Amino acid sequence: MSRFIALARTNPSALVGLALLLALAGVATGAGVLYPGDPMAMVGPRSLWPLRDAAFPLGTDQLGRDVAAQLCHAARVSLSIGVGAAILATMIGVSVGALAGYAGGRLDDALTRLSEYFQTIPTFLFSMVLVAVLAPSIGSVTLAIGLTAWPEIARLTRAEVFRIRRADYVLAAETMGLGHARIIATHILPNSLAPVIVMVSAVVAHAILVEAALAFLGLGDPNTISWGSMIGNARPLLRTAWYLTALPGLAIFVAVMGFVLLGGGVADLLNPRMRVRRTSAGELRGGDA
Amino acid sequence: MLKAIPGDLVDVIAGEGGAASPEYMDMLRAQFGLDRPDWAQFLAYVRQLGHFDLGYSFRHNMPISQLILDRLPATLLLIGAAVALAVGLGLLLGALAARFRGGLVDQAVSVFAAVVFATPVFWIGLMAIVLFAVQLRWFPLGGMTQIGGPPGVLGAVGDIAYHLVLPASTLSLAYLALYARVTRAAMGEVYDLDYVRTARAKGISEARIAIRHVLRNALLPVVTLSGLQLGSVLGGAVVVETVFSWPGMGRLAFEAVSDRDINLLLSLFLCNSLLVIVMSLVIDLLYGVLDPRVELAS
Repeated sequence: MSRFIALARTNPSALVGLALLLALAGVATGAGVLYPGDPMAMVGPRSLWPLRDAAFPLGTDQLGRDVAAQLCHAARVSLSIGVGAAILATMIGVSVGALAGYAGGRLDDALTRLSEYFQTIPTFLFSMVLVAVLAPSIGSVTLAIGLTAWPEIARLTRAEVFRIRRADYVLAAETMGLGHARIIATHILPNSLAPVIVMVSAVVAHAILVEAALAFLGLGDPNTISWGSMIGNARPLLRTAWYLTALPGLAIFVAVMGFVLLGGGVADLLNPRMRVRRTSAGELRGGDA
Repeated sequence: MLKAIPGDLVDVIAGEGGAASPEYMDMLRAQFGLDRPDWAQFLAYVRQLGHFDLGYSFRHNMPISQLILDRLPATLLLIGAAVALAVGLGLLLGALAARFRGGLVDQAVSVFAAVVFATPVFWIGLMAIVLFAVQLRWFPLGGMTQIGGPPGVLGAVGDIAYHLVLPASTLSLAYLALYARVTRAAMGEVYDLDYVRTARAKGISEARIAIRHVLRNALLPVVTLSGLQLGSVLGGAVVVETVFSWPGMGRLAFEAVSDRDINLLLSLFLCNSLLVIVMSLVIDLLYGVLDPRVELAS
């Protein structure tokens, strides 16, 4: 708790990020209560601009569907894909990185080569190919993003594990006859995950952006709405009803910004040296993670 | 070593693609040879690649190599313009931010970079269309040329350049922010070094120090990073070309996806991998130019 207060004092932008994310999470979980009906149902007059009718504060689209309801329900899809893909990428990245850093030698070479290989392929095109081949659904989009986002995490985990690998307490654990799996899980990983956690927030932000771009191109789950698909649907009406494009874009911006700010704040929190340096320099900006 | 990489990947997906796209090709299957077992298709595909034959797009009814060659110049123009803009402005902004650290430009650059990172590229493009094409009518809505545009070669060049402004600026924004940040960080480190102090002591002007002493030595990380990033630029081009109806490879990729034209998509993927390889080669050669200590022959 005292750490939290310290964070609030030294890094207000992290708090802003946290607040943004909590608000979005609230909207996403409360979507069913706030707008219990089907968000795809036609409920009002067509193409109503925002702030004209109290019943539809954000207006309606070309088919008379409530934009506010769509945005709330889309938040569920966009956020869950973003978080899901980040979890997948983290699981792959941490396993690969930990294994490579711990084992060293040939296995390390092979795994490092594998992640370099994934880094050289054009990730967005690769995601497009995967989604197209597997048929668009929430699962396939999550998989496609998760499979392209893990190398950065693997690289970072490997470096951290490598650093701790020869520490005295790890050697002591080895002398005590603990198994490799146990040493990695209980001694090495807990001490090396801090920077990885920071990176995960950047991966979530990235995943939300990629999901939006895929859905905008029509590669989203056809049975659900996400912010990206809302923009894709509204694109033909750009001339007359640009608010239909602007609003979901702002939602994406808020979500990504939230994760970026929070990540920067956590990075400062976990790195006391940095915090002291930054405060003493009178420079409180985070977000370099 | 790099050359072995894209082939592998294409092969893997070729296997998947042959098996996973039956819904579209059901009735044409026998005709296209898709009823053969996966390994036979895969072998045929590899054999074709060996002959530089990318195959045939049944959707467009054209050889794929022809399709890609048709679209290549437009994409290269778009990417080239965007990268030139990003590198030029990015270096300038980054240098200014590093020179006046903590100043107005510095803060503006970091806020700008954060905002650009958090905004989807296609949304920036769409909003640019609303503002500059629909409301202000400064630039065209999309496309590459105007039908019945101005006559003559000069007129055509001007017409294309006029259509290029919005898509190229949109595509360059994300990279611009990145280059500015990296340049700032790299130059910041160099500014702390002793020889910069020596140069100052010698009374050399600040502008000359910034350009000749600091920027020159900070260029290497910037070049490395831009090389890595350029591999992803075609991914961005897909989205930007779709938004601005720019007739390039990116839009071809999008059409390939919506038409389930797996063969075409794979070929585009392969082309992109080639682009990445060429870019890494160019970057490696650039090292030699920028830093005399790097020797090309070893």
